[in-house]
Amino acid sequence: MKNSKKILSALLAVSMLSTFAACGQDDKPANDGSGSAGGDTGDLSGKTITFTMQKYGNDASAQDKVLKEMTEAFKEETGITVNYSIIDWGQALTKLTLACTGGEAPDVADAYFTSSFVTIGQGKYGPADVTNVFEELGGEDAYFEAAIDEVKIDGKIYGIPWRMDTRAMIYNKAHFEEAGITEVPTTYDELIEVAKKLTKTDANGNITRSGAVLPVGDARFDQGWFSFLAGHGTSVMNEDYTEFTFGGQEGIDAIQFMLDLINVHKVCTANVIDPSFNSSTEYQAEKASIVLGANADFMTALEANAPQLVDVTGSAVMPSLTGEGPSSVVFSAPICIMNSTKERAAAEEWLKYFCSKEGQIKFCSSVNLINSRKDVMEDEFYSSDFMKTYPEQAERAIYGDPAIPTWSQIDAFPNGPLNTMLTNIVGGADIQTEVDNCLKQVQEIYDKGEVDLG
Amino acid sequence: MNKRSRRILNGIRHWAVMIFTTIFVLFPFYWMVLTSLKPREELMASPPVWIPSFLDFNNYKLVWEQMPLLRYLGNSLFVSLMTTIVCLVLATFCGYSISRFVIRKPQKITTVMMILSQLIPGTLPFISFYFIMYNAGLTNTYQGLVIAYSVWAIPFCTLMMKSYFSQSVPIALEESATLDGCSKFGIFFRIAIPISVPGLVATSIFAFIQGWNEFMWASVMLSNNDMKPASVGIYDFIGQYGANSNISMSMTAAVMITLPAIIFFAFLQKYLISGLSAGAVKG
Repeated sequence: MKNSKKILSALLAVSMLSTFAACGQDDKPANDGSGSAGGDTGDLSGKTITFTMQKYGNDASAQDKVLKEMTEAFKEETGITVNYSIIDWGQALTKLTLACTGGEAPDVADAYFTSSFVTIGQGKYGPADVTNVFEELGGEDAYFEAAIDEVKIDGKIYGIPWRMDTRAMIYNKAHFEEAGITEVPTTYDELIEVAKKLTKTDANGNITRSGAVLPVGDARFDQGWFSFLAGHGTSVMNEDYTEFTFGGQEGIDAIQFMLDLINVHKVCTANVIDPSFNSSTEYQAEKASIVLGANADFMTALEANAPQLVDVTGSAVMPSLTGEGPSSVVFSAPICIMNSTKERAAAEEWLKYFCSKEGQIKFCSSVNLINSRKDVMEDEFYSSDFMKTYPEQAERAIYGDPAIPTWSQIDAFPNGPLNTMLTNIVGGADIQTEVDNCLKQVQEIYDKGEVDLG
Repeated sequence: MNKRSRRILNGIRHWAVMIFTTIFVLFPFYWMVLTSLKPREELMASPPVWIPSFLDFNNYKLVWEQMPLLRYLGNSLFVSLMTTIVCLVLATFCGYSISRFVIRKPQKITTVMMILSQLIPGTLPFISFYFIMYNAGLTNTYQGLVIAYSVWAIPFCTLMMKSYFSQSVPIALEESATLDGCSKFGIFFRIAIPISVPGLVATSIFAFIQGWNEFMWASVMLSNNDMKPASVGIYDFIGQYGANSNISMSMTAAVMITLPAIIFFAFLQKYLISGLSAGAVKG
């Protein structure tokens, strides 16, 4: 008994020691002095780099599979090992912020809020200047203009634009047929007319099927509003990002239009204000006939959760006030080399490989993403009935995120000034008062120029 | 109302409350299992489908193909077990020490500090703790995860063990052993520990479940997919921007991840109840 206790104690002690024995021994990027920033172009075989991406597509294995194939092919070609990891969106901002403030950073990262991260990294951390790679990949002519805005700061390029996200109109063809509608609406007046025909109510007048729903999830209205701003001929800021323009008459009209869909025309359920409301799931449950803005990945969610709707779902360019000009927004995001990398040359090779036309077609077609490269969007993958709308929509879209360092703070969700204003307005507050308050707040943040991702 | 009617009425009230509470507690689990088994066409149906037209077990096959579930479960199991061992060893020594040798005021303050540590929200020291781990080279390691989990679990485990030692191990027994010539360590290993098995098991269950369910630390400290625990791995079915989720697969993964914890709890729950209730009534 005495011995067994001693043995037990010893075993426990050994197991604890072995758990912590390896503390601090691994996982820090090896700094062997080779491949220093901007330098080494020699034999890169044997080098290892790390690469992080956010999660795309809702088939859990698709992204992993395509990344595995691409990194293996890349290793065969160059001898460079790419250790990739996929980060869920709930942690993406935290991890990127830590990476740009001295925490653990990958060599290459899928980023967003580029101008904010470049500012807080202060040249030491965060995204590095990759203008040379950008030029090698075709330069400005190869990319959609809105995508370049996201990565260009003071004439330098801090990431290679890759995924693009524009929001097209999604509609249920069966509902259209049932209501005798043969044409998709192209103007807001047509939209209202069509939506009224599609809307169903119960005996008490409560909406049981919305003719058209605002693109909302978690009671977040900003991204839908950006599209309506574009459709009304304006935007959050002017072209050179020196002035906030959403307070003008067109901006007020855009907000009023959103409210009117709910309160005046009664074609959109008032439940949009409920944080549990989601326009995608509303559509999947056939409680909405039109979603006024959804990304290209919408179809994969439909295949997973409501496959019976796949054949009756169509996409179309978002309507606008006049039926012409911009009617939506486009967001783009870059792949960046981080300043903290010790393997710049190897990282550049991977960036060129992953962001090449072939690399992007392979990756984006696997996870249903549209792309910032014009030649990628010409691929046959984007020619299906559903997907072909997205390149068309991208041509009729303005930027979604103005390239200013404080944008992450201005558009923070849920408590940033823009989102607070919209939630208050949809909740019943006076439009003009809220817009005036919001303009004051955003101007203050803009003038202060301090970046706060928190 | 006669005695018999009153007894029946009380019985009905008792069962009504029990049934209501059970439905309230178990409904999310019912919905989770149901969603994992529903045919996809019925997932989003409105009004909701309460009884599916047939049970589709295909998701339980697909979940193994679409995500490395076995690896995730293995990671969870390993980290939870190591956390349990660390917590149990340290909390047992610490709890016993506090229950027997804390007499002076400064010593008592340490106990209060331990209780206070439970009042600090886990997210508050998050950034500083992350950088400590990063600079110690502990991010992306199992060791780092075990340390992070243990840091938060040890205080409560210690208080559990302290309470058990104080209330369930009679000091008179230890005094008798002292008279018989037993050393302090001898008393601890030969008397206190064997008597405290229910308390040890209860503490183990607490530490294990704490480790099994933990999400926040694992999601921030790990970027290596091969090391993800199941609680983080389930996010594999959540798509771009944290939306567009694959609902049935998420629910299937959730069922698979919940099962081990339920089995573990089912086998050891009698110890948990006796361990937690020990010392609840002073005698």
